[in-house]
Amino acid sequence: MFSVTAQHKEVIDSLSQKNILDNKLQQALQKYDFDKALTIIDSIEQYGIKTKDSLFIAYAYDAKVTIYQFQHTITKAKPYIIKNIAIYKHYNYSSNIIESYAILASLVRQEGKLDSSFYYLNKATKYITDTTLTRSIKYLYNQKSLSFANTKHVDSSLYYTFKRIALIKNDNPYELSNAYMELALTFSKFYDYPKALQYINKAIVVLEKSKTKLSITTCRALIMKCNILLHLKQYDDIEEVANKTLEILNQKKFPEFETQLNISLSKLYWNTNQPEKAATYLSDKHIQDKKISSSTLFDFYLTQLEQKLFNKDLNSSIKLVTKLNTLISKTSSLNKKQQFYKLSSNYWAKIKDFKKGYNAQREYLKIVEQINNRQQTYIIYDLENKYQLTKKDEEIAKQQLALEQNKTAMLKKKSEFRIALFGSLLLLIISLGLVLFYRQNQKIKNKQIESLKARKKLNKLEALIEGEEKERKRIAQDLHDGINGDLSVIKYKITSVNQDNFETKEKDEFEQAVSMLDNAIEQVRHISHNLAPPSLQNFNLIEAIQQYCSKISGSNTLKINFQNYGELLTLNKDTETAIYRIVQEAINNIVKHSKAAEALVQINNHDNNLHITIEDNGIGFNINNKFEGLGLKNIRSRVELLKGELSIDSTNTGTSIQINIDLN
Amino acid sequence: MINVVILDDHLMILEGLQTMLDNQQDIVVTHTFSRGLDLLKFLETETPNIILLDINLPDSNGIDLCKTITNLYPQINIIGLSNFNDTSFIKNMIRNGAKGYLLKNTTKEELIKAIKTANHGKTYLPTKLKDKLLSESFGVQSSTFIPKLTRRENEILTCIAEELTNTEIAEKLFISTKTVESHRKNLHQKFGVRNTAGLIKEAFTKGLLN
Repeated sequence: MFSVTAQHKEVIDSLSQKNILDNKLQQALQKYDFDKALTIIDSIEQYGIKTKDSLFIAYAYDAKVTIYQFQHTITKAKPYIIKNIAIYKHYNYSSNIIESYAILASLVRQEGKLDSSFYYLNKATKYITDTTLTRSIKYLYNQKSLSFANTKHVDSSLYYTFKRIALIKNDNPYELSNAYMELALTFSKFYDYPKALQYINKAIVVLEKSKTKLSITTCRALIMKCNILLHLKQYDDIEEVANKTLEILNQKKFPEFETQLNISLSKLYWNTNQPEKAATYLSDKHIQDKKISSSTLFDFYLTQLEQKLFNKDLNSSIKLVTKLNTLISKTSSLNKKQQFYKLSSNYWAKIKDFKKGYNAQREYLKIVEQINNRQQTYIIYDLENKYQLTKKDEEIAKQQLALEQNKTAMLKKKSEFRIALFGSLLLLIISLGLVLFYRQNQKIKNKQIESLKARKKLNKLEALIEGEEKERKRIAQDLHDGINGDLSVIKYKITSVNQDNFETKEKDEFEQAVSMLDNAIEQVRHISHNLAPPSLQNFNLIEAIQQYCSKISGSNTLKINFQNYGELLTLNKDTETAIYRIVQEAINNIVKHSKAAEALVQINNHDNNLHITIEDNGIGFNINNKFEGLGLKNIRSRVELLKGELSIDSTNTGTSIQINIDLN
Repeated sequence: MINVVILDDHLMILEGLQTMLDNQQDIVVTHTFSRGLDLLKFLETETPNIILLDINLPDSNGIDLCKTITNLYPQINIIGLSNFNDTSFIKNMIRNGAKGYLLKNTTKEELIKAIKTANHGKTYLPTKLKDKLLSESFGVQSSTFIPKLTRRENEILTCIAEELTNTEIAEKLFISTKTVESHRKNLHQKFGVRNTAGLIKEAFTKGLLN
């Protein structure tokens, strides 16, 4: 009896203790006093450890993650969310697991690891059950749509946003407006500003009708509208929206939004040719001693840089470039990064520091490529996801149908049937679990296979090229020794026919036949030489390339100059063949596309450093063209195999291909 | 009477060549072989006037075989016979002592002419092959006066003329000093000079720098 009351008392104690801590935490959070909140969270954690209440610890961790997210310190947040996933898995709290995974996905997305983000989102999706809270599913859909938006998969992103909107009840203006804003953001990302405007207006309507005042959200929405209008060049409407924002900002202080609004206004006046007015909004006074997120700060300095650079204020520009350089790791917007590198490369070019300019240009191109690449890489993800989703929808519909049928059957029959049904359901769940487990396993294995495949790609390439060379050699030999030998014999036989009794017409035919035979022999010789150059097999690389160059010079308008300097080359046949093919492909390209009159092939070997140059004075080509010709691809893969470096320069006065191979 | 021996692994070719030479009064094909070793053994006891020698053989290389035979029996005249028309083969055969070179789809007239010319100890080449050799040597000659420079070499030459050091050049052109070094060595070889002073002097006289 005593023990029961003691236990009971303990429960009440712990409950009240928990409530006290929770209350304190809520108060600290409402005041945005994160330092205090973090200390309270630590005591929550300690209390959880003491009472072995892991769910309470998880609660503490959740709070920590929220704060860290708010402070944009992703690396700190990550370990806690991972711990939480483990805890929730232990208790099998599907909703919490899904939310935690979704948060993790959002964290890694902000780090730029999009594939990991999708990995976690897919994991989360597997935990959806009938009992999962709508809130969790909405959150998951939100993260999915954001990740897809980042991969520029606008349709998938929109799909999840609309799915989420369908789950939001009409009486929740906060969520509804946020969803509309997200749509606006997505459309902006894909440069569809008219659509973005449409949805941001919807969001603003919802916010205006709302009974509770949502000033933060309203501020965000209005500023977003400003930016969309900027892109649409509807400058006349911006001031009105800005005034509305200012009204709210006059009542409540939000330095973050104030800065954002200032940036937008500065851009407005800059674009409408009022540079002095534009500059006043970017005065450093506005941001002094204020808590502003790094991404907004980045945007602030970036806008400053753009204007200073335009005004040729180089002293201020260098300060801004340095500032931005320290901030760039904290911003996730690729477009902003891209703009920064573009501007900074402009700056370096202005002060004639070409090396730094080149580096900035390279970073810029890297990001452009990143933006382009994502789209390609994730098409597969996209299809897979859609496929699985439609399947999932079908499954759910089927299950519901089955349940309904069971219900009617249940009503007819007695309660003993219920037990049987329950048993079978249990079995079904277990088997489903097994299937899921098996699938999961399969997925992991598939991933391993993928990485192995990638590693083996190079080996495969090598084997492929080797096989190709072998096959070429075999065919060349068959042609050369077989067919050409036979053709020669046929010629001997025909020419040994006695022609004395031939009439003139017969004589003509006869001579034609012989010259046709000679032609055929010449052609077969040509083909077989291209397939496997005999000089390469019998002599060496230099001799073979020399032969090839003079052969091309002899049969084309292109004149090739071949030069060879440095120490004597001793290479194995495979390497020689690979280099020969590189030169052959390059010359082929020149003959086919460049319209060049002259070309230069040079092979140098100094201190085991092989340097190959192939140049022409033709019309050049666009090196950035994505659809690289087969010839260039062959060159690339062979240089890759030889572990060499390839660089191609092309202008409208000619192309220059340089290859460096370290023979050590 | 000119005694001819033929070495070719293609039996039909052997037969064809024999028929072409059948009705010639002053030429006779005494033996045919399909393996190099058999021919060498035969030469230990007999000495023909002419050997028609295929280059592509299963057991040996015609070019090497040509050298061996002319070294051992300088009185025998060899004519190379092949489907290869690369000048490197022709040059190497002639260098190794051959007195002629024919493509396998040769005509009867050419074959007889080649045998007769070679029998006099003179060299015979079909006009087509002669032209090929000539045009090749012309191609090389035309560019020896002013060496052709690659774009990179031109850039480096200008840099050298501007008194930049290797490290400075490397920095300016975004390449390694090692590469600059090897380009410089190339330039020296191209102009046939020993040092930078010579290089600049030559480049000026040839109008590559102003």
